[in-house]
Amino acid sequence: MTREELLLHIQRLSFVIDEATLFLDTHPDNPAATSYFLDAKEKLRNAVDAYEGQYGALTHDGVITDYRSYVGGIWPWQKNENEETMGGKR
Amino acid sequence: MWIYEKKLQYPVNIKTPNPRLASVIISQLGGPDGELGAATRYLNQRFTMPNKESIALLTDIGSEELGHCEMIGAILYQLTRNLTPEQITAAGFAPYFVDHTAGIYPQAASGVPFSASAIASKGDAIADLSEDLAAEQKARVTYDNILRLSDDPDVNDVIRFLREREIVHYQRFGDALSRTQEQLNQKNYYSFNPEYR
Repeated sequence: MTREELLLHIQRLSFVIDEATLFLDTHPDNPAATSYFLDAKEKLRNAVDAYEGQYGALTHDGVITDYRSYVGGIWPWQKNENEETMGGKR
Repeated sequence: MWIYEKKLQYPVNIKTPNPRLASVIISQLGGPDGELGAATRYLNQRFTMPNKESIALLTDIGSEELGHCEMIGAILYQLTRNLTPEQITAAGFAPYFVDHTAGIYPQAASGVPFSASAIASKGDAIADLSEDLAAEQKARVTYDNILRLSDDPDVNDVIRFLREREIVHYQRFGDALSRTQEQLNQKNYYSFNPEYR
């Protein structure tokens, strides 16, 4: 998967978790919602591991050896990696 | 404590800069019913909630609202890139530009800076959860109004996602309110039956 495809996959799984957790906050003992949440959590962990191994850290916790893997790369509102150094009219 | 994740909750990819549109969408960052107010409201109200379910819900919705501030910031950033002084003037963006350049500053569309006076934290679960229901509806109306003013499909796709979140949060807060009312009824001090004293 390209970086964009893998990130979108992570965003989808994270959204599943966002939805499940808001429901679980007021239904913490619901078994169906709990297994739905745990299943998505496992899939998300695998997707994040795959992303961070190839494209850099998504959180501080994702830094394995090189902190630049967090600082560098693209930030979420940017369209390309070197946007802030491109000068232009800004 | 919070952990930052280097991703948006929903992707923002706007192809065409449009400072006129940015100057109305900015209300959902720093306006009276914007995302910054939402995060501030929920993350402060949660401390004194009388049950753990409401504490958990306010914590998680408040945290999601911080992510929505980031999404609105991303929209504003992408709508105001690479503008000439002529484009800024023609789009009516000069009053904002002269104070903030293309920096992201939380203000209402009217230019009024973000104010905590548009939110409440009353220290009463019924009052606060009712405020939260109204807040989600007011934010939903603001997104409806933005959709009336915008014809950019890239922007509208993100605005529709955020509008839908207001509806989901309204449902979740309704759940927390009815559970809280049930608990208070069990203890017979929120609304008691005068024939059963």
